This record gives sequence, C-alpha cells and structure tokens, in this order.
Amino acid sequence: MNRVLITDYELITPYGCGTDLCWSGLLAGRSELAALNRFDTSAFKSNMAGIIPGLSYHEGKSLVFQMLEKVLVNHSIPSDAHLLLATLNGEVDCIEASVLHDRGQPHDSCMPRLLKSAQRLCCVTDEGAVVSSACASSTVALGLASSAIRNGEHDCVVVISCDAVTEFLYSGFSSLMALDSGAARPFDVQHAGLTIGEAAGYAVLMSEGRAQKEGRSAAGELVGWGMSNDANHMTGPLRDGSGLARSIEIALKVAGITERQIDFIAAHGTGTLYNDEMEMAAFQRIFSSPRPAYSVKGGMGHTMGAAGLVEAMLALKTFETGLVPPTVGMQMPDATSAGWVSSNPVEVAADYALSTNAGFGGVNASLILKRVRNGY
Amino acid sequence: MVINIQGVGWLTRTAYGSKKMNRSEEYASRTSLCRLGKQDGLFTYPIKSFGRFEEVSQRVCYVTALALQDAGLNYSKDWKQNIGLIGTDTHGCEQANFNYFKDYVKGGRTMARANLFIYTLPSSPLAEAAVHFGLQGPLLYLRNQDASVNSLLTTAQRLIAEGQSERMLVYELTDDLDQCHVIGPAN
Repeated sequence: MNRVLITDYELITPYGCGTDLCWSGLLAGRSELAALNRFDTSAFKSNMAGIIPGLSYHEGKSLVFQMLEKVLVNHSIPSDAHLLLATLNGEVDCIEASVLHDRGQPHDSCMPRLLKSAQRLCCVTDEGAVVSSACASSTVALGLASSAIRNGEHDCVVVISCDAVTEFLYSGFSSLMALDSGAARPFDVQHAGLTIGEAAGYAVLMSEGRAQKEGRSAAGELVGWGMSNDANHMTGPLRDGSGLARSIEIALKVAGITERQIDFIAAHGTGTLYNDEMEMAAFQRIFSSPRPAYSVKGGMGHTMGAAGLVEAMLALKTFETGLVPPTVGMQMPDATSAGWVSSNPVEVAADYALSTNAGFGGVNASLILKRVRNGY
Repeated sequence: MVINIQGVGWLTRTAYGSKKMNRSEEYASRTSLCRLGKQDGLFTYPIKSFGRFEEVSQRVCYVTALALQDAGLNYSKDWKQNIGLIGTDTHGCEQANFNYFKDYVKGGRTMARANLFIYTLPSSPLAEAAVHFGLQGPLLYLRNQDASVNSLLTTAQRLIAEGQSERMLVYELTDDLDQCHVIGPAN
C-alpha cells in the first residue's frame, strides 16, 4: 500500500486568488459574503453570495473556466498526472446564456467539454474523468484519487474542482427555501440557511515514492476516506447523523486510527438547520469528547462541489500554523454545537484532521488528513 | 478478494430484461415506464411519486430492480443495505438543466420549481434509486471522455475491496441501452 501525499495545491475563493489570502481572511474572522449584483435577486429571499472579484458573466468564457484559468496560472502539475475534475454542475452559465441571450448552445455546458478545458489548462496528457456527487463532489474525487494511488493504479493524480454562483443555482437553492436572508451563520443559535459561494482549486496527490524521487515535499498526507448515502430523501439529510457518521467510521477504518486521534474537524457547516444539526449529531455519535470544529462557509459561502477540496486544503494550513480558524459568522453557538465551535481561532498541535461534506441525494463523504514532518 | 458480476439488468427503447435469468419483455416505449411499473410487478413495493420522476430516473430505477432481482438480492421499505451506486451516461443532466432553466425563465424569473431543480445534478437519478431501494453505499457519477464503463467497474471493485461498500451497482446509460451491473465479492 502506497502512502498518499499532497504535494501541491492552490485555491481561488471570494477572498481572492491564493490559499494564503483565504487563510488570513478566515483567521481574521472576515467574511467576504456581500450583496450580489451578478443578476437580479429581488425575487429571492436573499441577495447575498460569496463572489470571486473580477469575473465576467455571460460575456464569453464561463465563470468556472475563468476561475480555472486564474488558479492554474502558475501550476506545477506533472504532465502525466491522472486528471479528476470534480464539479456539481460545471459550466451551467452556458445554459443561461443560451436561454436568455440566444448565445452558444445548451450542449456547451456538457461535462466532457469542461473536462477537455481543464486538461488543457493543467497541461496533462490524460483525458481524465469528471466526478460529480452533489456538494461532496471534490471530497469523493479526493477519496478516489487516494484510493487509486494507495492501490498502485496511479502514482500521481491531480484533482481539480470548481463551481460558480449562477442565477441557475441561486434560483434553485431559493426554491428549496435553503438560503439565509443574510449571510450564513453556521452552527449559530440563529442559523437560518446557507449562502452560496464560488471557488476553484487543485490538489496534486502523489505516492510517497514518486514524491521522493521528484524531490517534492508534502503539505500533508491523505490517510482515510469514507463515502456513504443516507438513502432517505433527495434534499434532506438523515437528521440523526447516522449517514454521515458511517462515512466517518469508514474513513477512520481506512486510515487505521481511532476517533481519539482526530485533533480537529473541518465541518461541512452549511448554516441550514438540518445540516448543522445532522452534522453535530454525527460528530456526537463518533467522538468520545468535543474537538475543535469549524465551518468556513460564513466567510466564503457554500462553494458546492468545490467545498470539499477547499476545506481539505485549508485543513493543511492548520498543520502548518497550529491554528484552527474561527467559524466566521457564528456569534453564539446553538445548543448542540456548544463546546465544539468557536468564534475565535484556537491553537492546536494537530496530527490528524477530519473533513466532512454532505449533499443532495443523501451523499456523505469524509476525509482524514495527517500532518507530515520534514516534508514526508 | 475475488469480485465478480452477480447480476445485470438492461433496458432498451422497446424491451427490458436481465442476464442471468435470461428474462426479456417487450414494452411500448421508455415513456410508458411509469404505467408499466404498476403493471408488471417488477418492484417489490411501489416507488413513491414514480410518475413525477424525470425519464432518466425512471430508467435507472427500472434497471436497478432488474439487476437486483437478477442477482437474487431482496430489498425492503423496512431495511437498508450496504450497496453503492456509480454511473456514467452520454448526456449527463443537460436536458434536465435545460428544462429547469427554461421553465424558470418562462415563469418570469421569479420562482423556480424545486421538483425540476433536484434533477439538475448528474447524480440525481442514482440518488432516486438509492432512496427507493435503501442503498447506503457510495453514490457518484463518473464520466470519462468516451463514457466507457470499464473504469467504473475498476473503481467499483476498488471501493468494495477497501471496505467502502459490500456491493456496487454500476450503471451505463446510453441513448439505446441502459445497463446496471451488480458487482460483489464471489462466494
């Protein structure tokens, strides 16, 4: 079995292009959620979103393509890496442009087209594959990548992920009554819904042998992954948390560690009542005592299919800095979250992190990341 | 661990059947699946709101029932089982996306329909099957450039071998033929 090292990664989020910008914004407790002017929101319950500045809408290139262009500009992805592209719905603004402005074709939004663009932008020869598993898409893709490396099917995989704030998705989440009228407040006593955000990023995963051979040091190791389904409802989670808990149990088993070894939790934390309660129920099923937990979605919004990649890579920053970020937007934790989440950064000397995500169709996915010392 | 194919369900534009049982039935067209589902007794219990499912979801539920039956696997409203779902297709959810957004624009861009929005993910048809048949394993859509099922079979085997699921259903949905393979450890 090969160890799976994360040797390179980068993110673009509403904080700007660069993981460090995002990290410092979160640590400062700053939210980038703001009133949205990309399209008319007057008919919806909310007008808030987490938007990446400087993107053009319905003016040629799709939003996610622009995001990928920016985040991949200085990449060092090996040309022989296997490619996995994780997205909820990719270039769905192409459908909008077709219906609203008679520009392009609806087929322009097809997944293979975006996959081809990603392949070109990251300069790999592999044609790759698209992974879509609702809002756990990139978490699942990271799990599949790790599984392929651990078992020797590939020695290098790049996971790319992207999703954008579009009228298509905004109107849809609004129709489900899922939006907070203000900015999302995950795990807060007054949490009342999510705020949509956008992000893109990539992570290069390598076997230890290849990383050493190429002299690439690692930012962390992916040691465990678990996937499950609630088999309960298309849009609502199993409220007792048993579905997510099962994915955590599987991830712990794959990692070969116990819950006691997990030092902090990068939670999904959307800000909806159902999600936050379900997630805390899952944690309380698994953990014998509270661990520092947080959500980044009060800072940048729910970045949908990209959320798992963003959150897992930010967890690596905790290994580097010894700080767990605050849950931005949370002022007073609700009863079930008290003792787990904080509105201030928390110091922690962490060796293991758990990152969780869930999504439509009852999907759950969990990752366990491990700190590496001296580069390997 | 030896993993093999334990059952296959299939559906064309005019017929449906299963491999091991060598079963094959003719029917009028894919659009008649809703009515057919009530007549042929294939489902152990009725699928809630089956008539409101979009067509791909109906087809996925059909081949799932056929494949589980072919593999000799029972399912029930009262219990769930550790079976995952992984699927690929030709068109993803392009048509569902188009239908949803066109409907929203037609309605004046003020109120979208949630029952159309839920099908705007390529994983949604698999999720409908997971809910009805009580399947609690991994659920994902995996699409390579040529929509070939081989990499899905490999992935499914790996997921079983590492303990993510006891069995996996592997779906290949095309314009002319839908198939669901039940993958699991050999006895």
